[in-house]
Amino acid sequence: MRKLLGADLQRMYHSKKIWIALLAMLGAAGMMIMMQYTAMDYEVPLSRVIFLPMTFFGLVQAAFVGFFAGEDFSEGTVRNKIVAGNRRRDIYLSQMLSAGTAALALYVIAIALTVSVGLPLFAHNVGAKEITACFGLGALTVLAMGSIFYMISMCIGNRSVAVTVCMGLAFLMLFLCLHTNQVLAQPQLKDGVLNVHYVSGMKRMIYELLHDMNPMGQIAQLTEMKYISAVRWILTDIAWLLVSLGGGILVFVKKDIR
Amino acid sequence: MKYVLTTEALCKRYKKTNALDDFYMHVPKGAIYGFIGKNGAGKTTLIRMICGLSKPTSGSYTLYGIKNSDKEMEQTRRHMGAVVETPALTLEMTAEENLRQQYRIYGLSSFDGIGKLLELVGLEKAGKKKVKAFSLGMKQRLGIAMALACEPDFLVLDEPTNGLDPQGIIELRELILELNHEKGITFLISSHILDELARVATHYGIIDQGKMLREFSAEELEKESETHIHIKAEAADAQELLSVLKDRGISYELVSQKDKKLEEYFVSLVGGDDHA
Repeated sequence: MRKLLGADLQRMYHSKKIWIALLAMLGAAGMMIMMQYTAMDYEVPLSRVIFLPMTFFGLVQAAFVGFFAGEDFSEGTVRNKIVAGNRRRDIYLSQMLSAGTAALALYVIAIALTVSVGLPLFAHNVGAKEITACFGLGALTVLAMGSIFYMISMCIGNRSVAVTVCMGLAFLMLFLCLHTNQVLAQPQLKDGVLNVHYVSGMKRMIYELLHDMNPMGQIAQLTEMKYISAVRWILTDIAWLLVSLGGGILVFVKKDIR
Repeated sequence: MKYVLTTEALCKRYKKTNALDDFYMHVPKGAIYGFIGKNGAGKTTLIRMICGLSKPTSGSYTLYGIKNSDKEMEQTRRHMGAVVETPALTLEMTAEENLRQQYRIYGLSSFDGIGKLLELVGLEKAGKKKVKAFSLGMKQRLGIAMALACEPDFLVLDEPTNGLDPQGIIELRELILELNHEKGITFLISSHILDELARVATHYGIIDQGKMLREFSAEELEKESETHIHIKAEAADAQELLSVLKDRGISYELVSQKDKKLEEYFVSLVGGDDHA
């Protein structure tokens, strides 16, 4: 398994996709910083900038994971691994670990850029402790979301279909997040009177749950460095990781490889 | 152990079609086994199955005497190499890097054998070249080098001459014969290019519609076809020989290719409606 992981990381390093994904994330981060710095006529707080590039992360990760995992099938390297007598579970895990490592690296580099450039440019309204907590939650989201995309790609076993389905899911999660975010962002009172669009009680709990369960919803919370429940966030991501890992292995072990 | 690979009543069903149906096969140790069949006869299905890429619907197979359902099967596969359809190569990497990848996949700690492998397949000068710049023949040879990384006793090649130019086919044939004679590697080669297969194979199996029609050795084929006298002559002598036969009133028929027999035999078993 260790050697297999080494082989997968080597393949990742030689793949152009990882460098394209990195450029896309750095480009998004640079663009976001520039927009926040130039377009606003007030001093933008740092908390609104640090995780802002993560808005694009889901889409970049969907494309990257779909390509990387799908390429193993299209180039036939997955066949080599099986013929070489590696267990399918090990093949699945090692590639998932390398895709997860790459996604975390992208995340770290993008956030390091916004923090290092953002510190001298924006209002310091958050401390290192808050940034670290949000960074940890964000890392968990990256892993959970990556695991879902990876499971889909490995179950499909075709690069172009995998990329299409992963991107489709990323957009679906994004639209769901936009909807739940819009509902939850409604103030209770509007101009001193009760806001009719404000949801409360059980309905609000369901919306909050949906927002927390959706990795894109988590990213939306991350971009403002405000979260509904850190515990629920962590538990949801662990659940996503376990379900996608278990389900993915179960399907991949039985899958006929073309 | 007499056989490297045997199958017993092997079946593979895809929705409503039987890709393999009650399929029996015996690949003797040290043989070059030519696996012949029309397109869609079930050759690649069988190869995928023995490589562990798909599971049988029913029936079983053994590799080196180990049954497919045994836990040791994954370890047993480490003694075999395979090139299924197209060689599995990472195009962005050089030939050497691809081989290093293969060594890692096999869990080998030293890369010492890479130079020798490249030399063996005639790619010693192309080791530093990216694979995307390789011709189809070079890719095929690199694919074989990768399959040889684990020093296998059994090599499975699925349609290895597909897309190769005549020179590439000759080089591949020589490589197969060299590996079989010098390293004792058993080969299972699926192909529908019969004249090419006839130049190397020691045993044959003919598959049609997922069933093994017949297995036979090259010697058996020879015996079954013994209705003619074969005279080997250089092209320059041939005309002279024919004029002698003519002068003496001996009727003759020019049978130019030895492998013609295999083609005829195949057609008699399978039928000649479709192309093999």
